[in-house]
Amino acid sequence: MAYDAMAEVEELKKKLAQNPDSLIFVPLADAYRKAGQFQEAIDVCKKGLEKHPAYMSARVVLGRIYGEKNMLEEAVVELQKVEKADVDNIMVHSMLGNVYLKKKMYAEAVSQFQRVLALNPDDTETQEKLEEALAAKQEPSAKAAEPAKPAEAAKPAEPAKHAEAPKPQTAPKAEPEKAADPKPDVQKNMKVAELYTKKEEFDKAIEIYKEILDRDQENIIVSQRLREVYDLKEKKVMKDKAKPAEQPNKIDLDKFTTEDILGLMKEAVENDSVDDKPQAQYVKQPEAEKPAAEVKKTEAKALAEPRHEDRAETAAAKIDPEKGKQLEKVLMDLSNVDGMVGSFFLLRDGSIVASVLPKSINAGEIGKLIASIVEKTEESVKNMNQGKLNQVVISSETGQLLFTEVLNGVLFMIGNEQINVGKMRLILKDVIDNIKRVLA
Amino acid sequence: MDFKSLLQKIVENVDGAIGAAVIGEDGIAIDKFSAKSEFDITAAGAEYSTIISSARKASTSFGLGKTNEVLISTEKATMIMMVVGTSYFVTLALSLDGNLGRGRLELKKAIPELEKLL
Repeated sequence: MAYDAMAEVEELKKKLAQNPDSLIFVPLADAYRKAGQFQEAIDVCKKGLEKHPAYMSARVVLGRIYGEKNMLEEAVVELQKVEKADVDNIMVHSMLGNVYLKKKMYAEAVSQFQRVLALNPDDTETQEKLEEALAAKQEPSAKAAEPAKPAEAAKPAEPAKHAEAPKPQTAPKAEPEKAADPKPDVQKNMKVAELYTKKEEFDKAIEIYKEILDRDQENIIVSQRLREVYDLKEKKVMKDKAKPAEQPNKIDLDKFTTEDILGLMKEAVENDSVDDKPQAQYVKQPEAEKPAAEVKKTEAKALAEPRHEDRAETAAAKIDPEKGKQLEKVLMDLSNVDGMVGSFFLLRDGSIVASVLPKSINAGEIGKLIASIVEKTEESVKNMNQGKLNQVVISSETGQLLFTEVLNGVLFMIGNEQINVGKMRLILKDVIDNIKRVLA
Repeated sequence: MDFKSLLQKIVENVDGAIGAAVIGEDGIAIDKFSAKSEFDITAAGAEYSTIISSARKASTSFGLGKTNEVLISTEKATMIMMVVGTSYFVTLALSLDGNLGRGRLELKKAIPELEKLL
């Protein structure tokens, strides 16, 4: 066993020596940990983190090593750094829970285990640990056994976060979903809202979308859908008004089906996408007055923050604005793809040169996020000696993100669950050629 | 079936497959199988775990829900990564002429078994 671990250590040491900038130091540190060489493991991790301070996986491994070495304070500090950067990191919540349990900080342990269970309700092991922590917390002696508290308060790593989390637990039985700051099941609610939309029960759909936005104002897809529903509602009202004059019989309107609604939604997305063009300013049409009032909060936020026109000024220093306009035309080709929500072309610094996006998407913020993802991906590909990065596709529950490098920039696309990936790829080739032509 | 046999089966069933691994969110490989020694799947795991984490952030920011899969194509290879459970992912590296569709299918088929093993 020990021999195997050391053989792995030797192998990984060689690899790290060949490529000192790679992230292989993390498996190496872990191999040292498995071999029981904790100090070497800590040294390797710390050295690697000097080069890659933002590499959270290394902090997770370091936290685990500290935990196993019983250096609990150090473990908490490292793991809290990861928790801060990635609030939904289930592994970190679980590790923090275990460390707090060891430290007899039961309230904090409960809070961490609840978070794990909120993310994965089927985790029976954590369920047991939560029950253990709850029972220990409720024992009268538990309070006395928490001398760490005052010292804890002096600790720099945000004690307030944990202080607010544990609510007084009256029931001894663990109820993760209720207790753990319930994260709304956004996807499920969105599906329900979609069903209401299809049934033309727009007010109910609006109510659901607004509830989601109350909790998550940054959710651009939901704000976009909310606007679409408002538009659909308005269209229906107008159509209803026009109905007696145009068509005395009601047959057609009664057959206003899901397909019609989806068609309208698609139209809404398309119209919304070209918000720079006066004739296409969908929300500025007369019927937009009501929706604008309703979605004020989201809109106001979007308006208050720099839109892509502002960022384009920065980009203009590097790319001729005229070319930016030409690029925007090229991107319009992509909006013909079913399910395409938007696309944009950005430079490596995150400045967006051209975009075809719904108004609800804050291009400025997205640019930075995407630039950072592209940078990390490129770095990994480089460390792996895999040549140039061609394309990345991220598939999620309700949509896809795709980005590809084009000359000195990145083309980024956002699709919803209905996106036709085959068609998108087909068009993508032409779009890339056209971008290259514009930038040439 | 254990991890290695499962990974070996995936690699052997896909034309152009170079290697496969089950990797934790922290970038540490649980097990791996390489058909070509020059491709370092352990290093790939460490590198690409950062991408999975970025992908999750991006998906959340765009309101697209949970990330299920990430596909990276480079000049030399294609990597498919599929999320397994809550803290792991399975990855398959393919040469440029590898059968991507088959690779995705084999990974999808293997996920329930991997979940059982995890």
